Amino acid sequence: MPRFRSAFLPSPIKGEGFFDRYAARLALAPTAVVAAVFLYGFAGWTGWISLTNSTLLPRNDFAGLAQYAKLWSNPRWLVAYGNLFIYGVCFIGFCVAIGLSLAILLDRRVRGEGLWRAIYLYPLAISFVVTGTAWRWIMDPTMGLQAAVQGWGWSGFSFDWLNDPNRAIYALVIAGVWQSSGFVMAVFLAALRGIDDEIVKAARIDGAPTWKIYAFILVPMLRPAFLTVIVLLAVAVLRNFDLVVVLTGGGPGYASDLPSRFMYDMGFRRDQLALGAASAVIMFATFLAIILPYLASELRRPR
Amino acid sequence: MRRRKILGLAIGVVFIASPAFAQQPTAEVLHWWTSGGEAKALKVIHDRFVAEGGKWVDNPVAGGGGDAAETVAKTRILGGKPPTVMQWHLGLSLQQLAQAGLLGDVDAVAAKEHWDALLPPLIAENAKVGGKYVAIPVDIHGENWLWTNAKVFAAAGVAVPTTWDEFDAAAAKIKAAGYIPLAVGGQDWQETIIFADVVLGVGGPDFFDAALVRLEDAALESPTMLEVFAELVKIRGMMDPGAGNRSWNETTNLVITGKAAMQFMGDWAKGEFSAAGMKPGVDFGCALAPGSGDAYSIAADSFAVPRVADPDQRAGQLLMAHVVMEPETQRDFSFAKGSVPPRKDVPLDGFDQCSRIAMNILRQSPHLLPSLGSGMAVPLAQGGAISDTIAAFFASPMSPESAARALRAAVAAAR
Repeated sequence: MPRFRSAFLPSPIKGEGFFDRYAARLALAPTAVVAAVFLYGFAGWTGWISLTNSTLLPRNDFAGLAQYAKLWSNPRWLVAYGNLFIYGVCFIGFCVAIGLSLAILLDRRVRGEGLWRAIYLYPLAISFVVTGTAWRWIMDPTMGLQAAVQGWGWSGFSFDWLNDPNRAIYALVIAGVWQSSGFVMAVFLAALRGIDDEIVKAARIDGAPTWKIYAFILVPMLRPAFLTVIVLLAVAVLRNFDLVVVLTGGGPGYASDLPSRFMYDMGFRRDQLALGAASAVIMFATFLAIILPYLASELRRPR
Repeated sequence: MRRRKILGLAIGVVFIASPAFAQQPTAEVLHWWTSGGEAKALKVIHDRFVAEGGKWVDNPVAGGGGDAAETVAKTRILGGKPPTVMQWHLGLSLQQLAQAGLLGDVDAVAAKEHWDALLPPLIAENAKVGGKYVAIPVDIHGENWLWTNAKVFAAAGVAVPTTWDEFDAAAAKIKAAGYIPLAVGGQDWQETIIFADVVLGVGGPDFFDAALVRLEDAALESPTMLEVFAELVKIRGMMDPGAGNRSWNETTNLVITGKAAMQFMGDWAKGEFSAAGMKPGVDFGCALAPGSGDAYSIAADSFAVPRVADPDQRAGQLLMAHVVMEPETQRDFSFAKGSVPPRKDVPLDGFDQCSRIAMNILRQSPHLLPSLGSGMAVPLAQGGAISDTIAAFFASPMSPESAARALRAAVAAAR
C-alpha cells in the first residue's frame, strides 16, 4: 500500500535538514492527535460503555456481555439489523447500477451534457430531511402518486409502500437511491474521462463495437472508482438516520427501523446508554467485517 | 489601531469575567421552549425573574422534544459546568441524577412556601428525591383527551362518546356519513397514547396502575388486557391510508379541517385548534377519553437544579424556585403554553373550558396517573419497550392474545 504509507515516511526529498525530512509528519501530527482522541478514543469508550450497565449516565460497573445478550433478544433490533442488509444491498446495488448507466450515457457526449449532469447531481445538494419529507408526500397514498394516478382514471393503481410493513424498507431505498445515484454518476463520469482516449481508439481499430468497449475495457478500468463509490455508499448506509426518521419513522411499527435509529432511541431517549453503545459496536463491527476484506483485496491487487 | 482594539477587547473580557461586578442572582437557563407558544410562555418566567432582580442567561437547545437539550445538560453536568437550572421532564431520571450526586435542591424555598400543600401529590413526589425538592414544577400536560370536530358530529348525528361502546357505535355512524371516524398518526408514541387511553377507559384507574405503573405480569396478560386489545383491533381498522408516520399536528389537522371526527391526543393539541381560529365547546370539543371517569394521566415539565458552587448561581436557583411557583407566573405561563398550572390554588378565571376540566380534576381527583411516556412511574426503558410493541401491533394483524403476550415479554426484557 505505498500510496497510503508514503505520508508517514520521511520525505523522499534528498537530504536537507530536520525540517525537510519531517515536514509531512509535523503537518499531520495535529490531525493524528485529534483523530486518536476524538475518533479512536471515543470509539473505544463506546466499546467500554457497552460492557457496563449504564442507563441515564455512564457508569463504570463491568457487566460483561449482558447488553449484547439483551440486544440479540430484542425483536426490534433484529428487524433493524436485518434491514441494514436489505437496505445496504439494494441501496448500493441500485446506486451503482443507475449511476454507472448514467455516466456511460453522458460519456457518449450527449448534447447539453452540462445540463443533464446538473440535473442528476442536483439531488445530492438536498439534505436527507428534505428528500425524506418530499418522498413521504409523494408516497402518501392519500395525496401523493397513488391519489394522482387514481385521479387520472386508473382506479386500481396502488402504491402504498409506506403503510406496508414488508415494503416500507424499499420505500427508503427509492428515496436513498434518488438522492445518491447522481453522486455515483459524477464519480464514474470523472473516471471515464480520465481514461486515455488512445485505448478506445485502439479498440475501435480492432473493430470492437461500442458496448464491448465499455463492458470489457472501460468498466473494468473503473475499478478504483468502484472502490471509492462502494466504500462511501457503505458509510452512507451505516449513517442513514435522518432519512428513515423523516420518511417512515421506522414504521409501520418498527418494520423499517435501522440500527442508527435504534441506537439513538436507546442511548438518548430511553436511558439505555449501554444498550445503545452495544448496538453501535455491532454496527461498527459489521461494517468492518464487510469493508476490510474488500479494501484489502482491492488495495493489494498488483497494478 | 489594531493594538487598541485588542486592548479594548481584553478590558471587556476582564469586566465580563470578573465576579466582583456580578453579585446578583444569576441563572443560566437551559431549555427547549423555542416554538411560538412555548417561547411566549418562557418569557413570562423570564420577565418575572428579571423584575425580581435576577440576571437571566438564556441557553436554548432546540430539537427532538427535549432529547437534544437533555443530552447537552447531562454532558455539561458530567463535565463539571452545569447550567443553573435546566428544563427537565419530571420523573425517575431525576432520582438517577440525584443519586449520582449531581443535583442540588431548592428545599429552602419549597419549605417556606409550603409546596407540599400546593402541589398534587403525584407531582410533589416526582419533584422530590429523598424528601428534598430537586426540581421546580412548571406545567402539567394531560394525555387522556378526546378531541372532536363539532360540525362532523352534527353531520353524522351522534354525540361525543363517553364509553367505549358508545365510541364504537359513533365511529360506525361517522364512517357511514363519509368521514374518517378517528384520526390516528402512525407513530409509536401517538399509538401508545391511544393504547393508554383504552387501558384507562376499559380497565379503570386501578387496572391502569397495575398494568402501566407497576407493570405487573398478571395485569399485562390479563383478560382485561385482552379486552383492551380487542378494542384496539377495532381502532386499528379505523386508520386511514395516510396514517403512516403522520405527525401529531398533521393528524390534528384532519379533525380541524373536518375530514376526521376525533383524535386521541394530549392537551397540546388544543393549541392547533386555537391557532385555526376554532373555539372550544363551539367548533371543537375537548373531553376526557371514553371511560376515563375522574382519572387523568399526566406528564409534567420542570426546571431541575444541578449542584452548583457559585453563590450567584445558587441564589439564582432559589429566586427561580420562588418566581416559577408564584401563582401569577403559573397562570400566565399556562395561558401562553396551553398547559395547566401544577399549583392547585391558581384561580380558574381566564382559563378555557378544557383547562378547567383538567384543573378541577387535578384539585379533587384521587386518580392522578403518570402517563406512560412521562417517565414518572415507569422507567423510559420499559415505557419504550411498550410503545415498540404497540407500534408493531398497529402495523400488523396481530391478535389480542399475541399482543398481550408480546407486551409482557417486552416489559420483562427491558427490566
